[in-house]
Parts: sequence; C-alpha cells; structure tokens
Amino acid sequence: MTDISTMASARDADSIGTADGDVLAALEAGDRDRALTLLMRSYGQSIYRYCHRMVGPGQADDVHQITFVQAYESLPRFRGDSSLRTWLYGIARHRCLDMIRKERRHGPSIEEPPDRRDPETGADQRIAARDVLQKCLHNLKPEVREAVILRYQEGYSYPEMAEMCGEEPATLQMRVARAMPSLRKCIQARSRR
Amino acid sequence: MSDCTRFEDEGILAYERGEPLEGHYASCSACKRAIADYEALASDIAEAGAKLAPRPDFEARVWSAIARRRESKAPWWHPASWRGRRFALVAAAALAAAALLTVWLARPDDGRATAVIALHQEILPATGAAPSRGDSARPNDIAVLRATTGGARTAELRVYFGTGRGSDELLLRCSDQPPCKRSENQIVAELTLPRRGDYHCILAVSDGALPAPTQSLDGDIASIEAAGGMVERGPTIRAR
Repeated sequence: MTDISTMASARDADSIGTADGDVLAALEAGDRDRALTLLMRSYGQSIYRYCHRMVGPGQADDVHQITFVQAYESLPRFRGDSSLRTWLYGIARHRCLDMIRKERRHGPSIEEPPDRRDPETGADQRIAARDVLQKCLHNLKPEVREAVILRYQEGYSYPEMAEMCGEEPATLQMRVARAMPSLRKCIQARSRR
Repeated sequence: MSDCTRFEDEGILAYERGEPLEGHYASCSACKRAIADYEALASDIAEAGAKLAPRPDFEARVWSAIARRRESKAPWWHPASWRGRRFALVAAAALAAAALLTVWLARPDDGRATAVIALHQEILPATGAAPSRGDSARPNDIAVLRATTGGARTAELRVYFGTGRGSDELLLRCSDQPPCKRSENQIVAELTLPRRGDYHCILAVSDGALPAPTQSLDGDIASIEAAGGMVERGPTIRAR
C-alpha cells in the first residue's frame, strides 16, 4: 500500500519550519513587510494550488491575492495558537468559500473547456486530462473537494487536515473515501467523450 | 473476471484510515486492480497539482493591493490618502514655483532665456509618517516625482530599478499618460516602490525624439545626450 504521507514530496518540512521561525522573528521585530514576504515565498505556491482547485482557474488569482492581503492585515493579531500554515490555510479557506457562495448566487464562473475529441499531441492530451480533472473536482461539494485536495494534492495527514478544517479526522476520511470512486467515474465518463 | 467490489464498498475507508489491506484484498484480483486504480488516481491528482503555479508577479500584485487598501482607509488629511497627498503636492508645487521664479529672475542677462529643467523627488512613507527627502525609503513607500520640462518638445519621466550600470529594470516611463500627469511644463508621477533596492529617477527632455530605453540607465543617459537631449537625474532612492 502506498504511504500517502510520502507523496507530499513538495513539502520540505525542515525548510518550512525554518521559514516559519523567520516569519515569527520578523513579527517580533515589528517587521510585518518581511513577515509577509517570507509567507509568500514559503506558501505562495501551495496556497495558489489550493485556491485553484477550490474556486477554479478563473478566480484563483484573485482569491490567492486576497488571502495574502488579509494575512498582512491580520499578522499583528497572530498569537501562535496554531501553526502559520494552518492559520494561512484558514484565511484561504474562508476566502474560497466566500467565492463559492458568490458563484452559487450569480452562476458558475468556470468555463467549459474546449471539446478536444482528438488531441493530436501529448501536450494536448495532458491539458485535456487536467481540464477533466478540474471539472470533476469541481463537481464535488466544496467540503469534499477540499478534503481530496488537502489529502492527495497537498499530501497532508488527516490530523493535519482536521486542524486546518476544524473537522474530525474520521469525518474527513469518510469524505475522501466516498469522493474518490465518484471522481474516478467522472473522469472515465468525460475522458470517453 | 471477478466483479468483486469489496475494496470500493469497505476497503477504501480502511485504506484511508491507514489500516493494512490483507487477507481478501491481497488475493482478490479485482480488489488488487481497484487498489492500483485508486493509487493511480491519487498520484494523478498530486502530479496535476504540482504543475499549478501563481502568476510570476503575484507578490507585486499583493503589495499593490495592500497599498491601495491603505490609501482608501487613510483620513483625508493623512499623507497616505490621495487628498492628503494632493494637498501636500499643491503646497510643494507652490514652493517649487517660488524657487523657479527665483531662478528665472536670476537668469543671465544675455537677452536669451535659459530653459530650466528640474526634477524634484519626495517620499511618502507607507507608514503614514511625514514626507521625507527623496533618497531614502522603505518598500511600499510612494515616490512622488515632479519635473519641470523647460518647454522641451519631448519630455518623459523614467524610473529604473537596479545598479544603474546594466540589467536595470524600467519601472516607469511616461509623459502625459498615466501614471504621469502633464500640464504645460510640468510632469508629475507617483510610483509605489515594490521592493528593497536602488531606484533611479530621471527627467529626459529633447526637442526631437527620445531614444528608446534599454536595460541600462547609464547607457540610456548617454544615448539621450548623444541625440542632443538633456537629462536631469535625481538622487538614488535607496529602499531598505
């Protein structure tokens, strides 16, 4: 059985731990600008990936930007009750859910990707596969989509996810266990078109 | 082919809990295939996600958004607000006009007026502190440039970021289009300083066309002067 935790090769725990220490040192020194710069350097890409999967490519840039702007304004109030990562994901999560609620009121903003029935190149096939995955992820309910993203895209453990989402690990395990077969069926169905 | 769905019915949850999948799952070909498909999907999700990246300029966009929010929240009298800065600009422009009048009155008495070009720099701190002289700053401070073009036909403000001797980044170049505002012989522009480093501001004027900028401040100054133009260079703004 694959050890899921080892799939999180994108997360270098040691380097992130050092960067978090630098962020906290910058905050203690009153240098909020440096603290934000370090946060963006450490978490900019992972937060973007999360936003992209949660709200889609059309809104990801805006939500990603808003997350760090809000982080800057909230940094003086950060007390270390949680890790910086958890705190930052919490901000991103709320902004993503706000955007999703707005989409529900005004209609979806994700555009249907072009119909590539006969991709001729490998690049087209990869793009088509990513589009299919994005669409199928977006079919999941937001809380289910989030669990799948955190588990398999970001490689977090269930205890880590529980802290970030404010849910029990068992609840998150159930969501992922139910979501993955649905996701696979959706991908197979769209790939046959 | 076996139609066993035990992995999907029960095994997935055990898998997610980290429980070992032994016994039936190790011997059932359908379940083994289902496990392999499951792991392949998980791998595809991770691999596709790894290719997602933010815009290269996302940090600069965040800082710009922070500066805009600060400006919108500042009281009218505060230098960080647009009205406060406009008041400061008007007051400073009055001082500049007085200085120019002095220069004009002191012009050489040879019957030919000397066109005056001048560049004045001022730093509006992002913290809302009082404006400071134009050569020391911090990231996100606003550099306010006011130039007198001396009646030249062509004039533009430029701001370079770098050492000034090569591989310089041109951050601002304008005359009568935003972010510059031009009126008669005056050009005014504002630039939020995005990061630590050295910023070099120049006013370039000419009665003909100005050479296009390159990636070298020194090179551009040389080419402007070689083409018969004039350059007024402000003190280097060191953002630390």
